[in-house]
Amino acid sequence: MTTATPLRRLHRAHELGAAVARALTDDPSIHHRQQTLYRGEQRLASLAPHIRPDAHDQAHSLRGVADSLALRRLHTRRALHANRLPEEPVARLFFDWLELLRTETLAGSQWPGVRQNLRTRFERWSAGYHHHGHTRSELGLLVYTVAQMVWSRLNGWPVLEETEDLIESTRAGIAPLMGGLLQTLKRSVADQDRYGLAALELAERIGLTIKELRPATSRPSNAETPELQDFALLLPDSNDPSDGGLRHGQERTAQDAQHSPYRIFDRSGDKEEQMADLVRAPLLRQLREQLDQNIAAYGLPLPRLVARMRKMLRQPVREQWQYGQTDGLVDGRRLAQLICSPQERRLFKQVDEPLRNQCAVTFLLDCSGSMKDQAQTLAVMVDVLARALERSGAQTEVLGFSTQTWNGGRPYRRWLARGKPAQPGRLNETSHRIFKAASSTWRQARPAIAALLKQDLYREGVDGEALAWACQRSLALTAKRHLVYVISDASPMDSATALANGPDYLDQHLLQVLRVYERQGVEITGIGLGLDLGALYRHTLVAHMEKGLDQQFLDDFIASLAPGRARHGR
Amino acid sequence: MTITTLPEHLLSIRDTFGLSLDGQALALQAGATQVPAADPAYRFNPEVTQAILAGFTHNRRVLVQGRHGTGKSTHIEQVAARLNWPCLRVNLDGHLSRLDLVGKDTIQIQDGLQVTGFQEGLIPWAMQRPMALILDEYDAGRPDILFVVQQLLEPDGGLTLMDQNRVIRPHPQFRIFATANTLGLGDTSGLYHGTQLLNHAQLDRWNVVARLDYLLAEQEMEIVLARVPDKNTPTGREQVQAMVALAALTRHGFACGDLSTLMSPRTVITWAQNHAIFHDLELAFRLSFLNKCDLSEHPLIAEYYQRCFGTELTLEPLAAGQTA
Repeated sequence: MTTATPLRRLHRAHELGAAVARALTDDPSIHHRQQTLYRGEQRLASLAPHIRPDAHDQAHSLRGVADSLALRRLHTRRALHANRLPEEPVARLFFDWLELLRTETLAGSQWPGVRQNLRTRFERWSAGYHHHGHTRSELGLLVYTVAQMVWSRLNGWPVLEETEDLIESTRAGIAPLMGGLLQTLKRSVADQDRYGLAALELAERIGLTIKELRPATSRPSNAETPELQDFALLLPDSNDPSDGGLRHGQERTAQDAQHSPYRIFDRSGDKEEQMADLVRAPLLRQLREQLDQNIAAYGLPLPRLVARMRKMLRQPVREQWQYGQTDGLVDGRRLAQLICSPQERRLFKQVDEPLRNQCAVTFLLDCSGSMKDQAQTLAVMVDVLARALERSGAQTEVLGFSTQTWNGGRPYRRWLARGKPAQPGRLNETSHRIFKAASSTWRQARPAIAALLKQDLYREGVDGEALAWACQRSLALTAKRHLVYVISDASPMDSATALANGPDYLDQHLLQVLRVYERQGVEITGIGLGLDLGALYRHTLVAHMEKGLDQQFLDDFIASLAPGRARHGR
Repeated sequence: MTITTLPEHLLSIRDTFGLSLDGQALALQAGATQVPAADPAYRFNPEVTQAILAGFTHNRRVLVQGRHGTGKSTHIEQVAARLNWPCLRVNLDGHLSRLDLVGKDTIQIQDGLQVTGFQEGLIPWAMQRPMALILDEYDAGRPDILFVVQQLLEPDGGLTLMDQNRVIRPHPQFRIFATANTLGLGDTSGLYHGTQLLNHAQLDRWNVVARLDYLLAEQEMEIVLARVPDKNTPTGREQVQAMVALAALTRHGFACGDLSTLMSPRTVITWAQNHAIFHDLELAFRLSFLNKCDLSEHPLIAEYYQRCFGTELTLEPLAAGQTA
C-alpha cells in the first residue's frame, strides 16, 4: 500500500480547487481538466502570468489560482471585457491582467483565506520571476514593476520587499506613464466599466513603451536574446485556447478545431470478439491460476470493498409497500378481515427497501502495445473491481479494444493500392473485445478476464470507436446510471491512421464521442496509468501501476462512483 | 362542544413585524393557550411573511417550501406568536396513520363498563378551534393521509366522518399551513429520501405557495448574534461573519453535489453556542458540524474553512481519501 504520489496529490489539489470554485461561484458547471478550470465546455482562463500553473506548483499555491478564477467568474462581465480586449498582444496581456487584479481585490471580507491565498500566489510568482533572473532585463523589469505597482496599489499591500529597491528607479521612470491612471484604477475597482477604460489606456501605453523598447534591446541578427525570451514566456502561446477564449467574446475549446467528419476506410475486417474464444482453454486456465495468485498476494478485503461500493452506488427508489405480510406494520385495511377470520395473519405491510443499486459499470481497457507491461496489475484491478461491483449489486461489463494487426493491416494496403486518396479515415481493423458481458456473472467470466495476461493480443488502439461501442452497450442495459471507465496509458494511437490523416485525428474523434455520450448521461471517467488523462476526459483518475494496486487508488475509485459528480461540467 | 370565537383585532404589519410593508394583519386577543412563544431575535422574510399573513388574515391555504433548516415552520410559528394565534404542528412522517388524523373508535370506561366510543383525531380536534394547523413535511406524507387533508383545503371545506355520519365544519378562526422540502416533484438532490410525488390536484388546492430560501448573509448574521449575544463584539462579529460565509459555501457545495451535508442556520447557531462552551472555534466546528460529515468530504470542508478563516483545519490522517 503506497501513499499518494506527487501527480495524484496535484490532481487532488486541482479537484479541491475546482470544488471550492464551484462553491464560491455557486456554479455547478465548473470543473477541472488537467491544470485548468472549465465552465462547461468553456475554459476559465486569464492571460495573467501569476495565475498560470507551472510544474513546480505545490498544492497550497494552487489555491490562489482557483480562487482567482472564481472571483473573475463572479465579477467580470465577459462581453464587456472581450469587446475592449485590444488586438496588440502586449496591450492585450496587460489589459487582461489588470482586470484580473481588479477582480482579485473584490474578494469579500468574509473570505479572509481567499485574500490570503491570492496574496501568497502573487508573492510567490513575484519571487519566482525575480529569482529566475527575468528582472535583469530592462523589459522584464518594466513588466514586473508595472505588475507590482498596480497590485500593491489596488490591494494596499507592500511590494515584494526583496525587490523594493530594485524596482525603485523603474518605478520613478514610469510614473509619468502611469499618470493618474493608477489612482483611477484604485477608485473604480467596483465598476468594471470605468476601471476598464483606465486599464485599457494603461495597457496601450505600456504596449507602446515596450514596442519602443524592443528594437533597442533585441538585435535583428539574434532574435533569441534573453530579454525577448523572457518576455515571450509571459505572452500566451498562440495555440493556447485561453488566449483565443477571450477573443471577441467567444470561447474556443479544444474540441472546436474544425476537422473533417470521422470516416472509416474499410470496416470489413473489424471484429467483436469473445476473449474466451481467442485463447486456448488450457492456457486460459493457466493464466487464471496466475491471476488468482496475484490477487491473493494483495490480500484485499473484498467484503469491505463491496460494502463501500454499495454505499456509494445505492440510490433511493420511491417508497413502496408490500402488503399481505405476516409481520411489519399493521395494514389498517385488513382489520375487517381479522374480525371475519381471526386465524388470518397476513395483516401486515412492510416498506420495500428504499435504496437500491441500479447502476451499470463498464470497464473499457486499452489493449495497445504500451499497456503490456502493466497487464498483470491491470488484470488484478479489473478483476477485483468487477467482482466487488457485481457483489454490490451493479451490472458490470469488462471490455477491451485493440486492432487486429500493427500498422494498418489490410485496409492500409488497400489504401496504398488505391493510390493513397486524401483523408481516408481510420485505416486499421479494430478488435472490440468482450472479457465480461453484463449478461454473464463474474464467475462465468473468470477465465476470459485472465486473457488480459496474454501479451501477444496487445496491438494498437482506436479509442473513439471503442468508447462509442462501450457506451452503446451500457445504454442498452436497464440501469439508472451508466458509468464507463476507460483505462488507458496514452492518447489513441494507430500509426497508419495517424500517418494518413494527421496526428490528432483519433483524439478529435474521441473528444466528439465523449461529448455525444456525456450528453446522453453516460458518466465517463478516464483512468490514466501513471498520467492524468485530463486533456481528453473530463473526469479522470490516476493509477500508478508500478507499485501495484494501492489503497489510494481504490479510495479514489470508490469516491468516483458517487452520484452528483456527473453534474459537474454539464 | 362549544368553543367560542376569540376576539379579533387588526395590527399594523409594519410595527408588528418590522417590515416595510403597509397593511394590517388579523390578530387574536392575547391569552389563548398554545400560542407559540415569540422570539425577539427572529427576522422575518418579507415575501414569506406576506404569504403567511394572507393565510391568517384572509384564510388562504399556504404552503411554504424550502430546504431543511431554512426555518419554514419557525417562520409560521413566529408569525402566529405575534398574532396570538394558537398553533398545532403535526409532522406527516411515514408512521402517522389516517386514523390518527381523523379519529377512531376506542374502548372507554363509562360507569364502570367498557364501551366503545369515537375519539376524534388531531384534525377534527384542531379544526373546531381557533387554531393554526401546521402540517410539517407535507411532501413526506403518504397519499392516503394527504387525501384526508384534501377536503380541508377546499374553501370552507368540511371534514366528513364517515362512520360517525357527521360533517365537521371548520371554526372561523381555523387556519391550515404546510411546509415541504420539495414542491411535490419528488427529490432530485438525493437529500430528501422518502418524499413523495404530490398529486397535482393536491398541490392545486394550496392557494399560496411561498418559497423560503436561506437568509441573506447579513440577516443570518443578525439572527446568530441575537441568539448568541456574547458574540456581539467586533471580534465576535468577524467570527460570525466567517461562520455564516462557511455555511453558505457548504450550501453551494451541496447544491453542486460536492457535499452530502450542509450547514443550516440552526447549525451555525449551535456552533456559535458551542464555541462559548469549548472556547475553541475549531473544536466547536468539529463537534457541531464536521463530525456529521462523511470522512471523504473532510478535505473539501477543510478547504472551505481555510477560505473563510484563513487558517488550516487539522484533519485526522485517516480522512485523506477515506470513504468508509
